[in-house]
Amino acid sequence: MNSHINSLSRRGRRVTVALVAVAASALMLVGCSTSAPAGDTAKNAAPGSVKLGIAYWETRTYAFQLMLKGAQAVASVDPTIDLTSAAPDAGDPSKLLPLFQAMAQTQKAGIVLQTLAADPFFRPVQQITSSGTPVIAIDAPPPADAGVDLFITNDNVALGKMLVDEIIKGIPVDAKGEIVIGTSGPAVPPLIARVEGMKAALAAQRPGVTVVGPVSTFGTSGSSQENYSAWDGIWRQHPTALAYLSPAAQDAVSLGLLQQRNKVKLLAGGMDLEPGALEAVQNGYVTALVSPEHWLKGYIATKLLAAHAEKGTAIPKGIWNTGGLVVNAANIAAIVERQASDGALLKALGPIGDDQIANSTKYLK
Amino acid sequence: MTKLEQTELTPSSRFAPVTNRLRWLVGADWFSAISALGALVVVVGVLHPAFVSPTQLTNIVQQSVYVALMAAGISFLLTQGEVDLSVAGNYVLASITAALLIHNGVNPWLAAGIAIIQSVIVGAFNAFIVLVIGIPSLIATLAMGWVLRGLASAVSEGKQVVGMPVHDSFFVILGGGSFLGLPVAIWVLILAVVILTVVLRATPFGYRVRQIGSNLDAAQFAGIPVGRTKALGFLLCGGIAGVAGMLGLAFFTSGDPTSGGGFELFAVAGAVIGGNPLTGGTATIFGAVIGAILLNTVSVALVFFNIPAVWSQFATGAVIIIAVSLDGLMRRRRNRNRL
Repeated sequence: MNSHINSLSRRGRRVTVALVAVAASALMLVGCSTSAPAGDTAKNAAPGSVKLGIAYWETRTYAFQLMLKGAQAVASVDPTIDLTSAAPDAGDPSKLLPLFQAMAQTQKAGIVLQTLAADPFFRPVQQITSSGTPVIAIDAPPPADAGVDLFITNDNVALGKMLVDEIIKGIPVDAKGEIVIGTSGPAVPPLIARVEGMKAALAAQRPGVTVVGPVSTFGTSGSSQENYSAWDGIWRQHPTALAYLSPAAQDAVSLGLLQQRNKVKLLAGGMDLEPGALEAVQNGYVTALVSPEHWLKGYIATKLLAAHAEKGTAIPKGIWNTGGLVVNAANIAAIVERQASDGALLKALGPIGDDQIANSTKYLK
Repeated sequence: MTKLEQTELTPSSRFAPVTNRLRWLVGADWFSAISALGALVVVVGVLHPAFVSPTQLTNIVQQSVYVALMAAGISFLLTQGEVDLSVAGNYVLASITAALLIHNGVNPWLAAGIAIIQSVIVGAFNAFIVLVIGIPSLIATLAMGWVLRGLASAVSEGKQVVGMPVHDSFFVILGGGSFLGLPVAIWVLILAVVILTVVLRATPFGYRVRQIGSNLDAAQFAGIPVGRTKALGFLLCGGIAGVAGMLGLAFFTSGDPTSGGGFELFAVAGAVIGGNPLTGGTATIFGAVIGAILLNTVSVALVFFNIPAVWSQFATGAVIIIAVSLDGLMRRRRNRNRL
């Protein structure tokens, strides 16, 4: 009886082990069918022989997805490139780091790194660049002295000024009152820089205005629901503010929704090209957005790595400013069309990226 | 039959020691977890040899250290029918506290000691709320986790605490040092597993922990101090989360109030997958650590198969559900067979 029970237990465990291994393998094999051309051992000019990677902050923010799309656009027209992408579901260096390290084991031709926290990546990036794999940082600064020579980004202070320059067209020069700045990324360095730009521009061009904020609209988890609730509270506290501005992505969406739900018209401006924010511009709820053109960062970084791997072209050194774009009623239709598909993005922005690469000295400092 | 004939070994009895060892191995609570981990590494390694390079495998284990330590600590509570979901918040607050102290000139080793003591105090708070006030540990520690994260965010003003003296021995040894080819952090994990296993298996405290989990009423009837034992479990769990925070600080060279999101779930899932049932009763420190490493291995393996990043959360969650469900089914079957 005992031996019978023991054999049943052993069989049960073997079945369990086999099922777990099969389940994990099935998940992996699903990935095989969606991946770029395989070929760990492919060499030279064979398809997929140039192994590049992009590791980015997290999967939930559209701005980061746009950087990924820019990188994927390069691979979509160059069959030599095998591009791997990885990002955690939430921005956390301890979650991104293992993915970045794993990617570095195979994608030896180069990696694009987009992380909002540089210090945690110092040792791993240094190890990877020391082994000969080039790393280009985009969007946020790379760890210092880790062998990353090119940083592709925006002048975020200038982006903040761009937004204010557009919004104050609707505010008289001698206006007195409040302008509220709310941000869903109070501790995110690029957003902090944008707020600095906004404040500087307001101080210079509308000295009679009082700036309230930046007020955090992050809540406890950064969800869209909490963001909306935060803006609802801000508006109710400052119902007569001259304008409501934000350096972050979700806020413009909430500002549009707020006006729609409460049937009010506010002067609102934001950044990034969240679909909800574009809709708010189309419907007249948001006056202007400033796009940091994130797609270009991913595109240019990947194209430079590809050229380096395929032709030996030197990777430029320095800080590359890709610039920004004001989106308002005048060009919203074209922007919506551009953002509608990966192909449309490539068609609209590819030539701009190629032009920047051809004239890199204009954008490098 | 002569005495010589009586003592002559039969073929089956000759292999009895080996068979008994194998039976022990297969019957161990952690066997499923380690088999799954081995199978996963083999399958992925066959398809992508770079996955099984020493560097890659070392990286996986090193990055699993934080959750693995938390899982080991949680095992002492799971077996007693309690849980601590504040471990991730405790980990973050410890790293922020130490980082702020270091930033203000305190010796890093001293700062780490202070932060670990703070983590133990957090464990004491948890014990008080659960055992004295009487709030279920699931809710109490979940809320405590929020408190700790909020506090970490508040004292750091929501920003990373950077500018650490990375050439100090604390960061050099714990963050970048290695011994016999393995990072020091992994050795800390190994040492923790050994010590905690000895505590669990060979000390009166460990005996009480297992007895309480096995049968609470019988343990109380036998005069085992249930409250005190559970309280010690909370203190231990808190302290271990603090140690994990120090290893994280040393490696990442900054205190980050936003880090460690979801670590409490991975720690509990890792402990359960490794053979510590949510219903309590048995505990395995080694299994908890293996379970945590297994979860990290799954998410890293996804990179090698180029699974789109937007699917990674789905895939990792699915594996947790499958593994925990299978473990539960197997236990039920085993219990049924015993009756």
